[in-house]
Amino acid sequence: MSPAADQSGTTPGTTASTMPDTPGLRDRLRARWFVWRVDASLDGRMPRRRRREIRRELRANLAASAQDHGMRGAIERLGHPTTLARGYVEGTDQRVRWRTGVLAALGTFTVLYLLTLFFLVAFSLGATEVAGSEVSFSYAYEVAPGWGPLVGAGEQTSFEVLLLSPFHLILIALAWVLGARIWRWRPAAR
Amino acid sequence: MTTAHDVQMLKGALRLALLRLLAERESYGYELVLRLHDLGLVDVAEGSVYPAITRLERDGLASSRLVPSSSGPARKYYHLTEAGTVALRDATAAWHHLVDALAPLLAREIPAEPAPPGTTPTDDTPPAHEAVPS
Repeated sequence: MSPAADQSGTTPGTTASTMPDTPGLRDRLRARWFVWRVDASLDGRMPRRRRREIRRELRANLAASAQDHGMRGAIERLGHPTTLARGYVEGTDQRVRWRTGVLAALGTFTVLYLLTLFFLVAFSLGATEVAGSEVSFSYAYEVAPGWGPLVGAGEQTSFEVLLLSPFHLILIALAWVLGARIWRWRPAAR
Repeated sequence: MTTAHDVQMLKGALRLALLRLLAERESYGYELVLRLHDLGLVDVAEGSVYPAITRLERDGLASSRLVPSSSGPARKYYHLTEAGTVALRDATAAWHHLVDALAPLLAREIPAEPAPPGTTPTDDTPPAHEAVPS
């Protein structure tokens, strides 16, 4: 028997299944969504070329398994995408996770931005004065002594939001460092 | 009957089983799952098999080639490399060694109560497995 012959006696590239060869749109979307979730968990944990190979191989195996179990069953048999991804990187997860770092930094920035808005609205609502046709605000907010004001203080008709204070920049940088596992970076490593 | 506990044992033996299956015939991922199931290892999850094959390739024990498929994307067929063949021989020898070492122990009758410290359990049961000279 040819080493390339598959179990059913057919040669590679053929199939003996009686199920439809081409999955429907819904099944294709299910498969793509699952593979995308696995791939997202692999980001920064292995080279892009390897990730592309894994995506392609997963899609092929899902298509084969779906002929026996249906696409939903084929996906269920693979377990959780994160667990599957963990298996692929077992023993090699020592790469910098650039995308995770960027997401962590963006997440931190978003939280800080929302906090700023919250305090801005709170302070402005609590100190609104009508002076002629203008509205004055009296507000003051400091993160910590010496860290610079988040919002200026005093009575003004306009205000300036100092969102990227040194304190914020340090927090965002910290989130990036921790998220990306930047200590794994080696200049000569590929 | 295969239990959840057996799955933990099978996980350790999966690499050996995959090496052996690939030594017999070139296969792609899902086909290897089916071949494992045909052996009775029905609890081996696909989510364990695919990464294990990938690790074999990463370690240089298996090589692969893409073969077009009429039912979807091209399938990745794996075969053993020379290093894989050596690894299979080594792993097979290690497996037999482990089985030979454990067989006499497991062949003993399980006592109703553990022996007190300082005593040696009697071993009057002959080994269940005799090593086969290669």
